[in-house]
Amino acid sequence: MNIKYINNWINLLSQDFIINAFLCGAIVAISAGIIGYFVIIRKATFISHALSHIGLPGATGAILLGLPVSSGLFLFCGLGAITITILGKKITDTDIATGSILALATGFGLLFSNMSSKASTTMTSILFGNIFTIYSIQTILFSCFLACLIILLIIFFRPLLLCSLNEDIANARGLPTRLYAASFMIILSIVVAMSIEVVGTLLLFALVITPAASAIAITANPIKSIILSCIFALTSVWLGLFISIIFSLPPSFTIVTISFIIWFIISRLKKLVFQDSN
Amino acid sequence: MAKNFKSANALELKNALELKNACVAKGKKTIWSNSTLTIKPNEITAIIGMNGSGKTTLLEVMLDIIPLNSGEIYILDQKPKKMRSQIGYVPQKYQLSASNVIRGYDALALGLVGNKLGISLSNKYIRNQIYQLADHLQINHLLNRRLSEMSGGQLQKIAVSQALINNPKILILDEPLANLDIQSTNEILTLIQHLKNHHISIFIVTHDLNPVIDLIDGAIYLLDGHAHYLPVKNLKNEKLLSYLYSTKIEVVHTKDGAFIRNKK
Repeated sequence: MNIKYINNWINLLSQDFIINAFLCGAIVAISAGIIGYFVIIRKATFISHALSHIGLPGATGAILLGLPVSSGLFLFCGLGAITITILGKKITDTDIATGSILALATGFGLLFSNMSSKASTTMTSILFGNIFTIYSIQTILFSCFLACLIILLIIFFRPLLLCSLNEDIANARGLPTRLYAASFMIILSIVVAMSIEVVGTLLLFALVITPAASAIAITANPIKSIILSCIFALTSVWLGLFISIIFSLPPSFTIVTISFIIWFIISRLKKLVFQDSN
Repeated sequence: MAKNFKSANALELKNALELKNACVAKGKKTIWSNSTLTIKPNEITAIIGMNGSGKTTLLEVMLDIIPLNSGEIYILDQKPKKMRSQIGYVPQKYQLSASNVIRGYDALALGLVGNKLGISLSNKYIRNQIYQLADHLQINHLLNRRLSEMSGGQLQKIAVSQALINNPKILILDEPLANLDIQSTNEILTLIQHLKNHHISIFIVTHDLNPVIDLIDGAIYLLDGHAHYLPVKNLKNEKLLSYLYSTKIEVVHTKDGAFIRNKK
């Protein structure tokens, strides 16, 4: 193990691929911060985890067919989201079914990767992400998506919040709860696929769920929670990237570590405050 | 003055609920049928019946979540679809959905604007409405508390407030006393009693008639595949209640009111 300090890191920061990593990382972090809040309040944490694994055979399968990795990733995440929505409560209520499917998907991911010689090298970058390999065209697409996400959030925030927190009341008020659930799943699948490019399928939880969980531990005001969640995700990605460049560490590692540290400190502090107030 | 009195009378004429030969089915299974009844406005009505007799289905029809197969239903003389904004609904599973992610304030805000597009939960209008209702129902101390940190009774008060904040003409409570201790039960009953004087028709689905028997004006009972209505004085009938609950029941009258119990 050799952690070394990179002397000329300032020069590195002006490299195009580094700037792109910071830009794209920020866009993905903010998207993950927003959607992560709804994942938690809809109690869909396990589903988001499953979706990331469903993306794996898509990515390795795409390589097998000579297609771009991202295309397979987004396709499988999307199809996974649609399947989960159609199966509905039957599957989302059973962790066992979801868990079994994600294991199967990971298995197929491995199979496809073994079938092609090129795929096994890409396998690591899908499992653990590689933010430095993101193309600038992807950054542009992702930022368009984020813009749409924010517009949708401003328009549909209140009904989505009601549907997420209390489906019975939302139904009684005449809201199309199933349409909201399906739309949410599609958007989630896109954010999951985007986040896989940054931190990989295995570390996705730390980018999508952990920042939102930290935010909710601090405030129960929904809008403040979402803003804080984005701030924590962004801090994790930017600080993580920065440290990874300075010390030549894998960025996914530093990103999830910072995300974890933020969460750990907040949950510790909260416990202390809570005990004091009693 | 006379004119005002007349218009007030005209309002009184609108029945809270009317079923005419109503039938409802889920899939091929008929839940209940041939039901005709009328509930007067501003009364408290219990909805009782065995498990699976279709109490929840009746709520779903009133809330326009499922349609009638045949017959007619009117809420305040209108089709249920038009009356959604006039109905406050407290679901049975409210306690299960209560989490640490929102405060009492947010629950009330969602009650007020949760079905409207937009992002704000704290503009002047929303805040005014919430503080006004919170003052009235004395739940100010709950507004800044997370739902997960509330007791069962406090949570039920928030649930009822969330349903009331739109000033509905109809309030539907699905098992509001389930899982509550005696003190909380009394608090919720006092709250319902208090609402009675506020021009609102209240429907309470309950498996236990005793806590509400001195509060209600009558009950819709679902029996043998039909919905019936009886005013409370006729409801305190041992034969009927024994048949309804499939067990021998006696009605005991005490100086504090009546209650029903299993006959030994």
